[in-house]
Amino acid sequence: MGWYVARRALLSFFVVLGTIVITFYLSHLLPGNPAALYAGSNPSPQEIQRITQQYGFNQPVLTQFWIYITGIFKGDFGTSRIVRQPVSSLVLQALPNSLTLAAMAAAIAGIVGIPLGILASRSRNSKLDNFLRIFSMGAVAIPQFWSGLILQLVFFSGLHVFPLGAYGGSLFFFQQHAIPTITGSYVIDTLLSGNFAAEGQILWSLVLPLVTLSAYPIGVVIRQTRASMIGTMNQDYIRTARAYGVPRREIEMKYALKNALSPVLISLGLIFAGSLIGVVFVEDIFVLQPGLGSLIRTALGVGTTSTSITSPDVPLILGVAIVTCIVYVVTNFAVDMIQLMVDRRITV
Amino acid sequence: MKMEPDAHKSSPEANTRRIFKRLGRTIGPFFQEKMFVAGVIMVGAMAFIAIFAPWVSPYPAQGMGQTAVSSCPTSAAGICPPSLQHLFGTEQTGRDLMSRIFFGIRTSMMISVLVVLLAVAIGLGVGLTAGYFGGIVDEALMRVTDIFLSFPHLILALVIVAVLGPGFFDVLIALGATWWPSFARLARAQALEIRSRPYVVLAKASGVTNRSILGRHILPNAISPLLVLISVDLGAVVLAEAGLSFLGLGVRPPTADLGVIIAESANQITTAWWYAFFPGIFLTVLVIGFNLLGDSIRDRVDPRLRGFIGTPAMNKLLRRI
Repeated sequence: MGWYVARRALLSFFVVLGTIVITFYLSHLLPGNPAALYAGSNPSPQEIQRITQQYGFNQPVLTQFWIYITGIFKGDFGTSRIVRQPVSSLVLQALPNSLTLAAMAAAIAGIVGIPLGILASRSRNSKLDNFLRIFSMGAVAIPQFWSGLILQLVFFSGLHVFPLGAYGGSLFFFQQHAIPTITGSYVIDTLLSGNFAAEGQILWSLVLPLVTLSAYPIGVVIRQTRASMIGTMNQDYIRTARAYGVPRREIEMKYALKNALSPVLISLGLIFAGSLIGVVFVEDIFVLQPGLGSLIRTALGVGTTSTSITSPDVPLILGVAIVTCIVYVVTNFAVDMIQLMVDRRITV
Repeated sequence: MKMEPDAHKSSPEANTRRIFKRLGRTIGPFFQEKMFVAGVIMVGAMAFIAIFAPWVSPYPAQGMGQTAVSSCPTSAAGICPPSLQHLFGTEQTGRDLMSRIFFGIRTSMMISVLVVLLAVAIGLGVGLTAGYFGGIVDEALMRVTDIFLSFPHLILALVIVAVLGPGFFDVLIALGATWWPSFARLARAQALEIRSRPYVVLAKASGVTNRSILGRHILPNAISPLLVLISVDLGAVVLAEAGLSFLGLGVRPPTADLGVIIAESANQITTAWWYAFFPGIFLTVLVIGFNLLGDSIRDRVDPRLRGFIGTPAMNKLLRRI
């Protein structure tokens, strides 16, 4: 068991290291002048000179790598060319909001998907089961960047129910409402500061984004819960319980659910990590700033939903990539460890 | 194997008939499944549009170069709602949306197929080598595979785009480089199993080189489960490709691509409903078609995997192979 944990930890470490090596290779070693890449569009010769000195582009490869990697471990990802701020502070500002969105999506997927999955497993091939099957088929196939737009079309342009986007429904929301920065996540900070009116407005503006974001995981959770429940209900100990005349409801809730849900709960952890990709789309469509999505937009040198790229902000993109990868890897590792604790059947 | 009644006749007709009979027996049962038939129809229609885009589009050259929009009464920007002239309406520069979508399907399908081919090529190379040689080679290759498996494709695409600049080959590299690990794992599992079969052991004993054992004995026998995984993965690849192009990380305008069209339509979402609506419908149908096809093939070939492939739980499972 200790060996397994160590092995997984080592692997996670190597994934992060691998990411750093890949980003280093792409930014430093490909043909072309890396200093020009870091400097962005139309740099002056002096600026190129300065950046070459700063990142040591004129030094041996290993020295460059050492400068690069020690910088990262110190939390120094360079300075964003477009926003003219340290990349680390930009990412730290964006991350809490994006993580909150991903966590909310995973929570909704569990709350909605698990009961529906159990219902579907209870009456196989019934009307409800077939409906849910078609629903999850659609939920898994509809692109999030499109369903978000369609929701805007229907509920903003058509019915005027929900705001088009932005936290609280307006980009100036936080100039009107003074929310102290505690965790950096708007949803949590507003709740902690006890401003429930503002919290309500923020949640109202998040309805469409969260529907967009959680449709896919809900579909996955329904299918998984259903399959897992059916598998468990066919097992011997359930059949024994049934033979003893234990009511079906009691069998389900008392004996089957505990075993059937553990793989589903595990996959909710992975859904959380996977939702980070969806968050990028949703933040982009619904103009939820600050967040990883808008940061990527900024880094690519374009405004929201514009489609032309001038010259990208390399330090910012590399920073976002490495941090996202670390979050992803840490979540995966945590899920594995939880699985190890919950499921004793894993032999290592 | 039991001989067919007419197997001793070797006339060409009998041969053809036999081949068709055998083919029918393999494929026939699939057509009894509604899911499979629906998938074939959807993907077939899309593939037809993709291949014959220049001929089925109402306006040539990706809908460019026609000025019928000047007659459009509602809009100054050149955006027209659907009409008999333009069934799906037009977009801001006055191009016919239906033609754009048809060419977009072409781009999306082409890239997706190429991505999967690239991923299979890399996956087969890495997986078969690892499984066949075993030992330290296996360990090293599989750890590299693990690293790539834990890498979100969007992030890799982001980095590649930042450095190389966006474009066709960029999506190809970014998606191909992140999609091969699952193929590699499956190919490795196959190679592990096949290498201990008598005919491989015999070939080895009689001095056949590793290269030709891999090419002649292991590769042909390892490929069929990979086909299942390909059919299951195609839908996800289409979705990922469109997503990257939507963010501006993939195919660039003016090339028509479903992701690009939807991205362009986002600015007009409050004024032109048709602009975002139609490309998304086609994209969704394409993905559902691939998913139906993949799911039904997989269910028939390996029912144990029902409801599993493509889900995080499946990735877990693959990780243990």
